[in-house]
Amino acid sequence: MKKYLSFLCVAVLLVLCAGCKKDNDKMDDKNLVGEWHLSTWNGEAQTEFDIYLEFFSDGRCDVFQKLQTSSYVKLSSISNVNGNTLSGIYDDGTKWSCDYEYSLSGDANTLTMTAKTTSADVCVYTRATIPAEVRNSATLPTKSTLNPPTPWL
Amino acid sequence: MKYSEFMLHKDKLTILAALLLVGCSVEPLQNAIEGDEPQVVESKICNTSDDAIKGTLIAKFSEDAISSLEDAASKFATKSGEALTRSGIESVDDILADLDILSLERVFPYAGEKEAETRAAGLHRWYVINFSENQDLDEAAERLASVAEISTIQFSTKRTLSYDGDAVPFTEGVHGATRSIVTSDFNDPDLFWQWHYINNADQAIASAAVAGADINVADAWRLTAGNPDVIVAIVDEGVKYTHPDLAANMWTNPNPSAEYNFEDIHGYNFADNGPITWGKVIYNAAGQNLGDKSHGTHVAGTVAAVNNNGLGVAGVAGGTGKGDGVKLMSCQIFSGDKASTDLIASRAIKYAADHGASILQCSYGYEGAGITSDREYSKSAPLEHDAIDYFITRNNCAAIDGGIAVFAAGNEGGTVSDYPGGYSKCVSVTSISPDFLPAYYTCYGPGCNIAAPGGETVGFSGGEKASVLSTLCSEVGGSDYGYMQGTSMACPHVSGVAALGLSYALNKGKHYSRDEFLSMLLTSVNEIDSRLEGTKMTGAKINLENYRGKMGTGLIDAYQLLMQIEGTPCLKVTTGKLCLETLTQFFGGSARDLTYTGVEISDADMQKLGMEVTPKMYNGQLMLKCSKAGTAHITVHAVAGGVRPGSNTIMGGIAITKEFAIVSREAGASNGGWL
Repeated sequence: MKKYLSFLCVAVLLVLCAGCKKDNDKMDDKNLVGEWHLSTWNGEAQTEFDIYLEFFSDGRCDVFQKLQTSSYVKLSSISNVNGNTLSGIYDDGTKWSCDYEYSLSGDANTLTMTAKTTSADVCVYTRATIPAEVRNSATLPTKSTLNPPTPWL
Repeated sequence: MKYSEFMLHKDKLTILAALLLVGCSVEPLQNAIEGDEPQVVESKICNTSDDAIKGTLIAKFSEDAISSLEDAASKFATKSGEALTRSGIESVDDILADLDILSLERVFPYAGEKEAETRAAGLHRWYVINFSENQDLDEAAERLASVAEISTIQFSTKRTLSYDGDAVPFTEGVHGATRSIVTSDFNDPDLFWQWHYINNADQAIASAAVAGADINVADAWRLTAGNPDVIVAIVDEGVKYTHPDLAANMWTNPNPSAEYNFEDIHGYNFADNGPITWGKVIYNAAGQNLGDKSHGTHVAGTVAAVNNNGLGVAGVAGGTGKGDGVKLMSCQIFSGDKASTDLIASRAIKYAADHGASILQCSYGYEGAGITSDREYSKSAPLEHDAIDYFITRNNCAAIDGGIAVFAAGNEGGTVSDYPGGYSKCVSVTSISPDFLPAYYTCYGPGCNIAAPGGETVGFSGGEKASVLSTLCSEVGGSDYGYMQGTSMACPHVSGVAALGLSYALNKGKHYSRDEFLSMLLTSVNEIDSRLEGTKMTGAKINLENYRGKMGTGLIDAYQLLMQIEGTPCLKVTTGKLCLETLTQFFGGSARDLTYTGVEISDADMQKLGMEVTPKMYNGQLMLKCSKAGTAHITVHAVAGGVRPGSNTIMGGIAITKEFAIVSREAGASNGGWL
């Protein structure tokens, strides 16, 4: 009986642990894993801003961006793959602004992410190592550095 | 005469009428010319002898007269020991013969490889005429002004230092409770007391101290602390170049020249025409020192005292202790109790320009002279005006086209900047204290461009510790370090930050026009105006509301300048929404309070982003609506200091311009993230 109870406890514990496990703690599409550099946005190469993405095998996704700041800022998030749709949530609890339909091409060296928004938003990333100076100089975001847009209406 | 006949002869009649009118006007015209003669003479005399140095007049000759003058000079040069006393121009020499003239010489000596630039700027046409002190200068000026070959006559007027009170020697105290813990990696032991660099609101400095009322240099120093290719000219008292905390950052002239008797080693003493001095102490009967005050050495220490050398204080651009600070050139214009003049200052400025300086640090001015426009300034001090224009158009640093001239706003609490700081091509610096409020003595208002810590030696709980700590000459006050207050002390903070910016630009291989760099410098600020309510009582009682919008763009911030040099951020707006954007990342902490003078965007870019209405500034914010996603460029114009740019006729701020990219995108997270 004692042996049975111990077995039951272990089984319950395993079930509980399994229950705690998030759906997105692993990357469902292994081809996404790696480092990516934005090559075009809506068909245009961008010289004014710069974006790198890094997908990890556990589903994490780091964004290195130089957009509203003079230097790179790093934002970490957890991504989720559902079919050919990518979504995610940043570590500060903010959701990605929208879902993205994605596709891989060119031996999985090109990643195209199309935002599910009303206006056109197609980002093409190519597989590329994130330069050490970008990684090393990137800072964590602060409210003042990111200066999110303020809609008037 | 029929109408048709009249029309036939109309042209003849018109000519006849015109001849009659001319005939009638001949005599009055002649009278006008005769009547104008005295006016021509007067208009050539650009200032008055009220505050003039005895025995000196400055004359600008016409270009045509120069060859005769230079011929005469070369003839006299062959007779050793004799000063030139004649011009070789008959009309001028007739007058000089009547006057008690001692010498006639070029204001700016032969400039060697810079001579061509000197001539192109017309500076070779300025001559100084020295007379016996008994000579009636007004009479001499009038007689010389009547000669056609002389275009301008100027009396040499006095200049004053913009400091307020004497130095207080440094004594170590006990640290108080603090409200912030910003630290530096440097090991200079007295850096703790330099609240003007890192203000942690330590109570030993002032119970009213406010954390962050500083130039925010600690983070900047982690990116750069200087570059020896940047030279800052200290136009002031002589800098003690042997000071243990300055010596390593002193500029050394690779080619001392005969024009300066080979004595221009770390600069030159233009006040005495000789080697640099700093320790002439002259007491009056009341025991007051009328001589050197350590002013130049104090100012130099703020710009670039050697950092991280385990000694004394830090300097804004003093390096990391590895010989990488900016270089200090001492252009001495004050000496002992001798008054300086615009003649002396102009020579010093020209020397700085010709010997590689890219920043002119000037804590002096015409105190309360009542000059209220650039036109008045150029009219009353044309020599110095020309010298400053020459300096700011030299290319002495690979990071910038031109030079930056920084002046103190003045200490008489006036409602406009003193000149030359008020000149719209110069940066004029106002002063704040550790409480983030204007110092009681600072000038403010039109002509003032930016604020920096100048401190106050009395009135705060910490006494002198609420003023600026820097290097001193031990020969004057017995100490190597001490406190001073004034816009004189605020000014070198801006010069130092500008030098730090040029250093970082050099390190990054960046290059800017003078206007671009000035726009970045003057928008690297934290705002002051929101604090200006009620009154403040320290050295004197002031009504803080009076200072709103009049201290310049805000309190200078070194880190912000380096970030601007790092790169220009984009303005991200949401596609399809009418947006109001505060342009802090482009115009600094006072972006909401600046006066904006225009917004420009091309038709093609408006079309690209689907803009139906041209963006405009509304209540200090950029209002725009983009209906399409994409990237475009926009240019925004503003005024640094006051509500209008300075011009020939009106005192005002400096026009600044920022160009940046707009990224219109519907996607993008509310925390600013790209995804």
